[in-house]
Amino acid sequence: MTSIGPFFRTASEGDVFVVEICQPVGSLSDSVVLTQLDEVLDALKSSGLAKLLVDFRQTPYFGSSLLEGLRLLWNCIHAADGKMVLCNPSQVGREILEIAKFDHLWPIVNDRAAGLALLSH
Amino acid sequence: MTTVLVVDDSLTDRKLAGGLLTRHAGWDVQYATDGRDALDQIELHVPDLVVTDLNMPELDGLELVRIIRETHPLVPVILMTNQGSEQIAVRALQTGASSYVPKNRLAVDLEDTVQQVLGIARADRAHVRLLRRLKNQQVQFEIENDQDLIATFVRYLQDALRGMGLCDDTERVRIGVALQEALINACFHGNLEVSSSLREVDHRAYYNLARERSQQLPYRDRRIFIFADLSPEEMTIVIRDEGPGFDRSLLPDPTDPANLEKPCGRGLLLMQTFMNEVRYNAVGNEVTMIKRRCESASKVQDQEDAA
Repeated sequence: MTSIGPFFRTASEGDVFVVEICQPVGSLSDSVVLTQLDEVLDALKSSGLAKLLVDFRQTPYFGSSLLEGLRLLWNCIHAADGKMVLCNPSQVGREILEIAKFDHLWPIVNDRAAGLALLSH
Repeated sequence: MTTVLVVDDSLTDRKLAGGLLTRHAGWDVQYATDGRDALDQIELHVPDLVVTDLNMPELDGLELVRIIRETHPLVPVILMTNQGSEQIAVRALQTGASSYVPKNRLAVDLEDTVQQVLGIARADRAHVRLLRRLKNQQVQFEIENDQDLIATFVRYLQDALRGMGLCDDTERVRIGVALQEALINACFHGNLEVSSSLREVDHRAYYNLARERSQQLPYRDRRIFIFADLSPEEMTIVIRDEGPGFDRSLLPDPTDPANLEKPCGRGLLLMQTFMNEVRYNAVGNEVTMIKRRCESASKVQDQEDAA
């Protein structure tokens, strides 16, 4: 995996681009998070992949800045007519995603294997 | 009698560590063969301290540290490390282990380390017991639009909440998220007057404008005023900025399917969901948030008192 700053790691697994969030991302480091997210977006675009898995296993919570980050990633994937799946959220993380109704936009699964399987269909 | 639980799948190492500790009068040493066995024993009797190996087949030391931190935050854990396990030891220390002793230095360092950690743990427990008796705490801050200060304030308040026993750890995280959102609103949308609608069009332009304004008058000199009133039953927090305020009725509903992919209003939604009450003044530059004691807090407090 490639580390992008302290918040993100990226990797390709077959035809799936995986973004792993490495630590709690609060709204307070908004600008730092978004700067690093730009690098993730660049890496995603240059990979040419249209399937995205976002793995939350290392982050117990996050705020609206990361929700905004997911929206930006989705814009990129959506433009390529691709698919996006979220996996491994904590209890509070899933709650935050559901409050934002993001579970209506993308599937949320419990582990990476389930996410990869879903994207392979 | 102080109880120390030694966890190691190697009988030799277990007996070595235990033998060193039993030399100390007043320490009762118990043994577990792996992390799972340790958790079973902790369920029956909470020890004063755990000394654990890192590499174990059933449930390793890292996972054991994580679970003990969650379920018995006042029980300290000391790691016994081998050459080659440094990285996992660092992760365990980050997860909340109190200290470590290399296995090849057990004879020299283990007893002193246990004594030192027990001393700190006793002081921590006394501190927690004292805070449990705190009836009211009021604090006021006036802070710049500085993200580091804001983050530090959120941690400060979360620690105060833990001390007072107003809520359990999960609820504390939720409160932290709500506080962060309220403070970021005060900073970005209030004092710096940067609109989410700009973020919808171009997120880079949004942050660039915020950065520019944080250096320009009048935005630069605006402050965030925080008042917090904490008791074991309730937390009230008032956050005021020096911006022109906003009209909540103009915010799009972020849960409306038509707005799901827009960036506006999610912070406010999280605040409303995680706090019991959220209300704004007429101008819209001051938010009052109230969180009442949750039932699970009593359970945690009982567990900590027992420990």
